[in-house]
Amino acid sequence: MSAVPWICRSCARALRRSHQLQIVRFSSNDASSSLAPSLLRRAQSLSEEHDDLQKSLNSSFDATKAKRAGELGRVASALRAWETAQSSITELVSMTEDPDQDPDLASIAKDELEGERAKLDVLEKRLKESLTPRHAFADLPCMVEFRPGPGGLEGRYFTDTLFKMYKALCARRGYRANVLKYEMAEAAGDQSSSSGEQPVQEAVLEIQDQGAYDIFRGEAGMHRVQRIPSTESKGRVHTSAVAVWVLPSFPEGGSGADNVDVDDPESDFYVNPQDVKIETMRARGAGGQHVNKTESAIRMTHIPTGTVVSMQDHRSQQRNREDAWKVLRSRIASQRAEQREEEASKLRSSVLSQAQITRGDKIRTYNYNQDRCTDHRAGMDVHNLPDVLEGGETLDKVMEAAREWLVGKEVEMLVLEEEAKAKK
Amino acid sequence: MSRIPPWLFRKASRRSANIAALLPACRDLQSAMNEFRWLKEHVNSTASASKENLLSRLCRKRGQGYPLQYILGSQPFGPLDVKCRPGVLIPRPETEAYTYHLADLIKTGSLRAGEPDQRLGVVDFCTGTGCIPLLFYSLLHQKFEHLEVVGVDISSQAVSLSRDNIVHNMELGYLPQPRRNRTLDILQQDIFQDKVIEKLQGRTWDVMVSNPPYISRRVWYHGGGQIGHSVRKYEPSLALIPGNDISIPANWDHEDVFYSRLLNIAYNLKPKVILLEVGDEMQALRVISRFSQHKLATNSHVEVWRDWPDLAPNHDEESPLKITMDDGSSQLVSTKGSGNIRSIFIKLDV
Repeated sequence: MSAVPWICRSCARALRRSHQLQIVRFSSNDASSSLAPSLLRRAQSLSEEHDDLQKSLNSSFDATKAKRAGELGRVASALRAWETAQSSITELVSMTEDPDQDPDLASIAKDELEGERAKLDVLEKRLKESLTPRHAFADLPCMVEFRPGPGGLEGRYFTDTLFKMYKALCARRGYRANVLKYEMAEAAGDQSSSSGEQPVQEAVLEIQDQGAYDIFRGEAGMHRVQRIPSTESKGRVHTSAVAVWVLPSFPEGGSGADNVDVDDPESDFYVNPQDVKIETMRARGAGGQHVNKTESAIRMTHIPTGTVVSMQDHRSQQRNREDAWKVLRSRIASQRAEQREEEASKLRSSVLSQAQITRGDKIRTYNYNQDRCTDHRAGMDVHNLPDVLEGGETLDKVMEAAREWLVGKEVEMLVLEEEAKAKK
Repeated sequence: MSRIPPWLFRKASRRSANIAALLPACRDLQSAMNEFRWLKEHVNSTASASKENLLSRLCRKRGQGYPLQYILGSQPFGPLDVKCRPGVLIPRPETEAYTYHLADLIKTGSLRAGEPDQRLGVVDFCTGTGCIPLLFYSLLHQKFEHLEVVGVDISSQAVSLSRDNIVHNMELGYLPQPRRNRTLDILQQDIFQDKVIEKLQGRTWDVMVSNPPYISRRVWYHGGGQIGHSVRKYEPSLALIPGNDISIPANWDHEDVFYSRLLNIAYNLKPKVILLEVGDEMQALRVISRFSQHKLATNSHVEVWRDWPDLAPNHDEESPLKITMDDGSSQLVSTKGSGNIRSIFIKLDV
C-alpha cells in the first residue's frame, strides 16, 4: 500500500473514469484497511472444510454435504485467488528490493506491482463479501413501502417522486414491478404539484424478481429532500423526509425458493388466519340487488402485533383482500426478522450494536438546489439529480455504494465477532 | 337516505369540480376519490384526445347516478374481468363473496358435492352477466377432471353478454379453454317453462345456484330508502323484480315467486347443494318456512349466510335465526359470517 492511499486511489479512479462526466466524491469515513487476521483465519478454516468436503464427496455423494460445499466454494475460490495475488506481490517486492537485480527488470517489476496491488484490493473485498453470511431473505422478492414523514404536502409530493424513481429504476433494469398500493392523502384530492407529483399518503411497490430483497435492502431508511416546494411563495428551501421500508415478500406459487412456505407455521411468513381480523365496509341498510356499491375497501388487523393493513386501490374486494394479505405477511415477516436481529445484537457487545441501522436514521439526501444526491452512510455525493430521480444510472451508483457500505458493515461485525470468539 | 351536508360539497369542490360532481352518487369523499381515480385511469387508457372534457363529462354522468360499471364497461369479479352493459344487472360484491365461499367448500371436499377430483355439475339460474358460472369454472377447473357448468337466463341481452364474457376472459387468459369433459355453457331459457327442466334433466347436477329477481313491488315503487336511486333508474327491472305475468302459487308472496319455482326445479334436478341469494332477513325467513313444507325438505340441512360468509361474525350476528312455521311451531337456523343476511344454503340428502 502506498503511504497516502486515499489520495492515490481517488486520483486513479478519477483518471480511469475520465470519459464520464459524472463527478463522484467519496468522503473519507469509509477507509478500508487490509484484511483482519481473524477474518483470514476464518477464511482459511472454511476453505479447509471445503477441501475436506470435496474429498469425501469425490468418494461418496451426499446431498447435504454437497450443499454445504457449494456454499463454501465461494470462500475457497476467493481465498485461493487472494493468496495467489498475495504471493505474487511478495515475489515482486523481493525483486524490486533486491539490490543485485537488473535495473530494467526492477522497473518492470515495479510497474507490475502496482497493478497487482490494485487487483489485491478487489480480491480482498470479494473475499470479505464471501465471508459474510447471506441475508436470510436475500433470495426473496421484496416490497418497497413509501410513507411521507411529518411535514405536510411537500413530503407527500416527494414521496411520489421517490416512488416514481424506484418504479423507473425497475422498468430500466427490467424487473417485474407491481404497484400494490398507491393512496392519495385524504385531504388533498386530485391536486398535484407543478411538476405533476401526487400527494401520496402511502404507496407499496412489489418487485417480484428473486433476489430483489438483496438489491433493495440498502435503500431502507429515511430519505431527506431539500428544495423549494411548489407550495412555497417566498422561495425558501424546505427540508422534509420520506420513510422507505423494504420488506421481504414471498414468491408467487413458491417457485424457486424452497425455504418459503406461507402455510408452514415455522416460516416467517406464516400468519394464522385466526389472528387476523378482517373488516369490510359496514353494511348500512339494504345490500345485494338493492344497491350498487363500488366501495371495495378492506382493513386487516393482525391482533397479536397490532399490525394494520388497509387496501382500497382495486375495484375488486377480493383483489384488495389478496393484496392486503401479501402486505400483512411481509410486514410480519420483517418484524420477526428484526426482532431476531435485535435479540442477536443484545447478545453481542455494545460496540457491535452501534453498527445497526435503526429505522429513524437519515440515509440519503436529495438536494435540488445543489443538484446533488448524498448517501450519508457510504459518504457518497453524486450530481445530476434529474438522472437519479429518473431511476437512471446515477442512481445505480448510489445504490451500489450503499450496498457496499452495508456489506462493509457486516464484515466489520463479523471481524468483531470473530475477535470476541478468539478472546474466549 | 341522509342528505349530504353542504360542508362536504365545499370540501370536495375545493379539491376539484370533478370530485364534487361525483359526490351525490358516492356520498363520501373517500369513495368519490377512488371512483375519480378509476375514471381517470379509464379515460387515460381509452381516450386519445380531449381527455379533460371527457373526464368531467363522465364524472357528471356518474354523479347523476349512472352506474360506474356501465361507464367503465366492466366489473372485476374474483380473478375475472366481467363486462357490463346497460340492460344486464351488474355483479355485486356479495355475490362474489358467497360464490367464492361455496367454491372453497367444494374444493376442500367438506360438502361431498362431487367426488374429489372426478366430476362436478353446476347450474346457475338467472345468470345475468354470467359472473357466477364463470367464477365457478375458473375456481374449480383444476380440481375436477369432469366439470360441467351451465348458466341459464331468459334475457337475450344477458345471454349474449355472458357468452361475450366467456370469450373475453378466455382471451385474457383468466379462464381455461374448454375441452372434452370440461364445458361452460349459457342457455337462453325461461325457467317457468318446463322445457328448461327437460333440457337439463338426465345429467347430474351437484350444485344449483341462483340470484333471482327478489325485490318486492312495494320497495320498487315506493322505495322507502331501501333501493338505490342508481339501481332503480339504470339497472334492468327484469333482473330485479319478478314480472307481473307470473302466476303466484298459494301461500307465496309475489317477490318470492322465483324461489317457489326454483325449489320445484331442484326437486327434478336433485342437486346435492342449493344456494339462493335473498334480499333480506324477512325474505330468508319466509323462504325457509315455505321450504320446510316442501317435499325436498326431508333429510335436508339449512343454513343462512351473511354478506361475507368467510369473515368472523360480530357479537350481534352470532345468534341463530328463529323461523316460525305456519302451524305455529318454530325452528332454529344457524347463520354464518358477517353482515346482512344474504343467502340460503341448503344441503339435500344429508
